[in-house]
Amino acid sequence: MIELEKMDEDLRGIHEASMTFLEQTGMMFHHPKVIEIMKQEGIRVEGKTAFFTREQVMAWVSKAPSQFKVYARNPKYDIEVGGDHVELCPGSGSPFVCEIDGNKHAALMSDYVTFLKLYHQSNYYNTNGGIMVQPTDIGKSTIPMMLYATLNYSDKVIITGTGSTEEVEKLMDMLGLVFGSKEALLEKPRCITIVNTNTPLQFDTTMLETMMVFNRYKQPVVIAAASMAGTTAPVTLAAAIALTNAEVLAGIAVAQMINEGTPVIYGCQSTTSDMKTGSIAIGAPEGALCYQYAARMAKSYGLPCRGGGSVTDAKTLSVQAGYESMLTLLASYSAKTNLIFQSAGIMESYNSMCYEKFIVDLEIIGMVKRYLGGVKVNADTLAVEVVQEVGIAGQFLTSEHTMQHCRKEPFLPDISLRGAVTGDLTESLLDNIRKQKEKMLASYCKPEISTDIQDRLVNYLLGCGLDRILIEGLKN
Amino acid sequence: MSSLAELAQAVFQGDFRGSSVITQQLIDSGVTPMEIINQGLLAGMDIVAPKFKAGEMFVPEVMMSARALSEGMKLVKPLISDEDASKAATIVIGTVQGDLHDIGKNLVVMLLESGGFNVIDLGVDVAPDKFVAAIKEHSPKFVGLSALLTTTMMAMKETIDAIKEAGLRDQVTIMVGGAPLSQEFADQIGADVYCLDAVAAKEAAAGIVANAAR
Repeated sequence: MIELEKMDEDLRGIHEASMTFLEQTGMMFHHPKVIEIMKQEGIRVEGKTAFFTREQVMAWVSKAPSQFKVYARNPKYDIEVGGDHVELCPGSGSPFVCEIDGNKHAALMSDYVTFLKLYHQSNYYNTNGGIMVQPTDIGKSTIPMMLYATLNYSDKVIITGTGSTEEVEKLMDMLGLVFGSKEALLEKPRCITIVNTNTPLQFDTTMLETMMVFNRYKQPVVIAAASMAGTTAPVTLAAAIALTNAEVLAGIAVAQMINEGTPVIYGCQSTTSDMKTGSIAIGAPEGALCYQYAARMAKSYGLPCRGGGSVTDAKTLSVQAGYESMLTLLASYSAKTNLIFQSAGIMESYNSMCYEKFIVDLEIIGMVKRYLGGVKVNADTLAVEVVQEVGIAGQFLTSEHTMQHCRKEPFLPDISLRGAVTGDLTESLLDNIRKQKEKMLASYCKPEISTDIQDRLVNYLLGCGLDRILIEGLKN
Repeated sequence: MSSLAELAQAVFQGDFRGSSVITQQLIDSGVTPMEIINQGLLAGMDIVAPKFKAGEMFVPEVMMSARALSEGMKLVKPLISDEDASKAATIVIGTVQGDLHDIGKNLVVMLLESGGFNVIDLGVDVAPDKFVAAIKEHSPKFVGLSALLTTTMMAMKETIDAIKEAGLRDQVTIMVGGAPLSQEFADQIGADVYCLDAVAAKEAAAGIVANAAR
């Protein structure tokens, strides 16, 4: 049972406000099946609005597991979700792909595949897939095609999307074909998705349908709120965090009612709004604070958490993109957030993904990991004999100790400019970024997938009425 | 006794109680409704609009001004002659089917109302046939469609198609907006105007009305 008395004072204050929101204002669930289940469990419901008592919501939340493993097609990528494990996950939800100057095009399947390759090539990632970009050239039934592409181009932990019950069942059918059977999915979590509430205090039909399918198959689902202080939540951060907290806990409670013990992740992507325009401001210091508090709240409840990323409101690949992304990623990572989506490529308040930004974000990730890796203090690193040997007014560049550690101790930048640089200074950094991207794509190799599984998947998709040419294009 | 200039200031300052009091005083002293609206209430918003555009006034402050205008309008609107009332352009607006997001749409509603438009707000998750019914009922000049999700954008096309099928397409100017939209998408689905944000929507609608008036 969650021990509220042990919570830090500020978190406890937030928690109590969340409980009051649920008891007093309630939360609307746009799904008759969910309403029915809640009534059966003794939750007071008026119309579509559920009023949880604090005892009810916390009793259900305490049934959620505090840590679980998610299994990839390739076991070397299996991940633990929970505790202080941090896993990076791809960008999620952008409809556009933009260039460094802000010019953008509606995302295509070819962009989706390029991002699959890039995330596959990065050693920072054990996960891949999801709505990295929303392809606009593959018709209406997009999530099965995106999953098919993910299965073909990567064998890392699978992320998927959202949709109607029918669409999401197709994902389970496909995973059943790959991993033995749909029943086998109950034994091993194989894919993660994100469902979102509509702040303030609503959960829409599509999101609930997605969540219920995931709950039934015991596949992990991030239940996330993305409150915007000042527009969809009160402008003061404590209230925005408390509102987020209420919605997410209510969602987690419902998930446990649907299937007790089903894995869930507490998700908070909340931030502030820009007071001049009413727009979301994702690169704001308030966002960084929300991500920090999300991790603290979730950990005090004993729940795995998701939040943050390397995110910016910048319209072009500018210094703004750099400083906002660094702040938000440092905040998310140092809070030991278990799953960090939106961690590479995000531009323009989630509207676009950018290839060059992706490469920049990998550099930011590397710097943050090095910084949080801290300083190892031991006999070797204190190098007392080395200092004695080199002596007063000596130099260490040529000593054996330096040679032994030079590739392990410091962060080795892939793109950042250091030292003397010749040629066009403004182009040099961009050049490094482009070269790094080309290098990653050039060294990409498609992971193995058995012909048998491939054939079953293809037949399944054709059976769903999906385009043969599109399928063949992804297969080859 | 307060003046029209003082009413404009009350609107600009977001003083909704003051706006109500002054409007009533002006009505009682025989100032015509249209003068109160144009030289008092809308004049106040005319001070707000450029400051908002320049980033000197923030959205919450503009909302307060809109509220002040609305408090005054409540008192004066019932007194307008039918002839004058029909001069206000009408827009039917809503967030399309399957989508519950409405912040952007609400900003558009606020800006248009405070710009003298007659706004019929259908809310969120509005089915195509509900838009069609509203067009038949209110005969608007404009129809505004909003969506935030890539998965609900296509409902905009379905709505436009339904309006065409009902034989109403030529009567209305269709404006679309929302984060996942673009000019290309608006062209593809047969919309008339793509609006980058709420201010662009207001300016486009006001521009079209002004052109028609010439």
